[in-house]
Amino acid sequence: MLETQALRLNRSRLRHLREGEYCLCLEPLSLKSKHLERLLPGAWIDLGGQLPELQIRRDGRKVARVHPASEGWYVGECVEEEPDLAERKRVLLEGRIAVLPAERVMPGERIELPPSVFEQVLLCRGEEPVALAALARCSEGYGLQVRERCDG
Amino acid sequence: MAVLRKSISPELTLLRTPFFPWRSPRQALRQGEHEVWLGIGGNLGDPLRRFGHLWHFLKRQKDLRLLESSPILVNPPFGYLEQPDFHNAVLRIATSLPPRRLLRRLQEIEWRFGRVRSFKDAPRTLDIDILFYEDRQVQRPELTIPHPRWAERPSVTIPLARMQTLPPLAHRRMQTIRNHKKAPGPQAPEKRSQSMIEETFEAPTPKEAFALARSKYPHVSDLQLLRARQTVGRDGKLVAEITVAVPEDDYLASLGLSEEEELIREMHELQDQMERMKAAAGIRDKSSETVEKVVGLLSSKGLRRDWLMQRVEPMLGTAVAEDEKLLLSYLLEEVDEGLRVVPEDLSRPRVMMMVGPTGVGKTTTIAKLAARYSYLLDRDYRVALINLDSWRAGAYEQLDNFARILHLEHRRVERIEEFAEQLDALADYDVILVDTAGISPFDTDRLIRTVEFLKSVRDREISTSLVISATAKYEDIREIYEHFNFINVENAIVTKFDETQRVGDLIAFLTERHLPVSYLSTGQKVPDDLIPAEKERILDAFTGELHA
Repeated sequence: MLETQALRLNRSRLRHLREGEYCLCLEPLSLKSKHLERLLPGAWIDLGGQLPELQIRRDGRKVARVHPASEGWYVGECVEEEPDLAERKRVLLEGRIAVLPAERVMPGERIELPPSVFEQVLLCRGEEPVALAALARCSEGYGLQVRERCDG
Repeated sequence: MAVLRKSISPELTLLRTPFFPWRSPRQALRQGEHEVWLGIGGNLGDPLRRFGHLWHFLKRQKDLRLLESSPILVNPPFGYLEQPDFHNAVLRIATSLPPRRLLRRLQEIEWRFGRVRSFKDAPRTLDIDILFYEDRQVQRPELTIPHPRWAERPSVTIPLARMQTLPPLAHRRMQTIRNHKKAPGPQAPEKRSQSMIEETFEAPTPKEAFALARSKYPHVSDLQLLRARQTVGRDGKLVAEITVAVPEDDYLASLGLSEEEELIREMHELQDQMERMKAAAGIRDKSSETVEKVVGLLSSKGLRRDWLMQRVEPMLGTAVAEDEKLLLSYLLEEVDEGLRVVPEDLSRPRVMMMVGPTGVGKTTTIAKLAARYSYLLDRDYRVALINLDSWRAGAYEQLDNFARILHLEHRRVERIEEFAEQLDALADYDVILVDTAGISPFDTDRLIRTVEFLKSVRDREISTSLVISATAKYEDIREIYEHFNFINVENAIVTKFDETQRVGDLIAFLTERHLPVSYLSTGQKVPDDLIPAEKERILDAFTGELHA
């Protein structure tokens, strides 16, 4: 029960991310604009054979990479990157996983999250939530299965 | 609350409420008791409500026994004029405290009711002055009895004139007023031949003092100056004091006392005497039926009959005990007074420990508090969790998953000595919440273990909250409290407040034990369904229950 409540609270915080807050995210997905409408409950977004890169982002910019290890993840070197730009006729979706406290965003810091957190990745176009999806294994490798639309 | 208003001059209004004026049926002084008249006043917030609270408060004090209250006078401020009108009344009490101890006790009460002493004649929430202490005269730097300016203040003389029992030292003046009112109209002596009242006025100069007298009695053409003298005031400055002779009629007019009011007072006195005679003869009347009905209703909702009867007893024989609505509102006011809440305070680092029986929602409450402090308040407080529960399977893991998702520091403590170490390690955190094993009232081993944990950190400030369910019965709550109380429970957190429509048992327990409530848990949502305790919320639940 407590885990469900924590997930609900996390979801709410992802939706209302404050300026300057750090967020553990999937590297942004590039989708054709027309495909946005097809992100309905049950639809899959194929991520390919490998798990996409995990990043720590702030205000739409990547600030650090997150490296997988045998137990959990570790914050890698911090970077200051320019905002990602979408190609023509495509949109970028930020896959938000969890809000991180600033003191955790330090190289070598361990990030521990229960698997249930990956079952609710909030896909956002800029600051606008689009859909809630679960990160899962599929026949081709990894994919995001849309659970519900969040826009409108 | 019903309030009767009567304007007695353009600036002065008299108010009558259920408790002002009021007279106790038990008037006889007990051994060692002295009769004291107190002046009360206030002009900030809601003075009527505060006077009501004071009345209820005094009714519960053993060392200050309330005998009589006057009506309330609404009158303009003096001295510093940029402030709201004052409400004033006079109380007659019986006390065994000597004058100086009584003064300190009254100052404590003023402090309790929120008075902050600032400058002379400043706005105030509640001011209590000793007017008369039997017929004693006291002259000390901090205390003068009788109050030096009682006779020149309408805020004292007007309410005092409406009391049934007068102070011996004021008797001559006030009794003259009463006797005069009883004199039949046509045979009343001419104004010139009637007796005169001496009234004293104070001002910086004799001229100004006389001007004050003139402005109070503009229609008295030949105001006779009897005495004039200069004294040194308490602030070291010279004060001119003049005494003038005022015709009784004019003096009475300045008090606003009417013949009709004198009659009402006499009727009340007769009613009081009849009630006392009936009670002595064991005659059941309307008031005993009303009491039975109201007490029956409240006890059916969980309040305890003996607690209710203790409160009703002083009302027997008064108008309050005869009116169902008045009696109910009086008892609800008593409940209101008995309930206490603790405000949320995170102004300094805190360690908060939750104790309570199994299944009451301690861990969920900790999760709610942690999320509330971390994300819901004016700033994000740094929160850490410590788990002392090594009995229940999955107790640690349950809270650990929660803590990991919300990135809260979570530590497990298994050995007694580790507790202090972990508190030291987490010293930088704003709040440390400590979860303990749920303990049934029959499980002494676990309780001893919790006590040992607490003993190991006795040099630190740890506040202990007892988590209790609103759905529990009175006897169960009492048993739980008694079980845990020897680890110094400071306050209660009430869970499952939304799961019952019967909170009488809970209220009965909280009011009887004076245990303050810090939070109410009103649902499953973390952290939204945890709110700082509010009296209104608890009372609303109870009054809603009464209407059901």
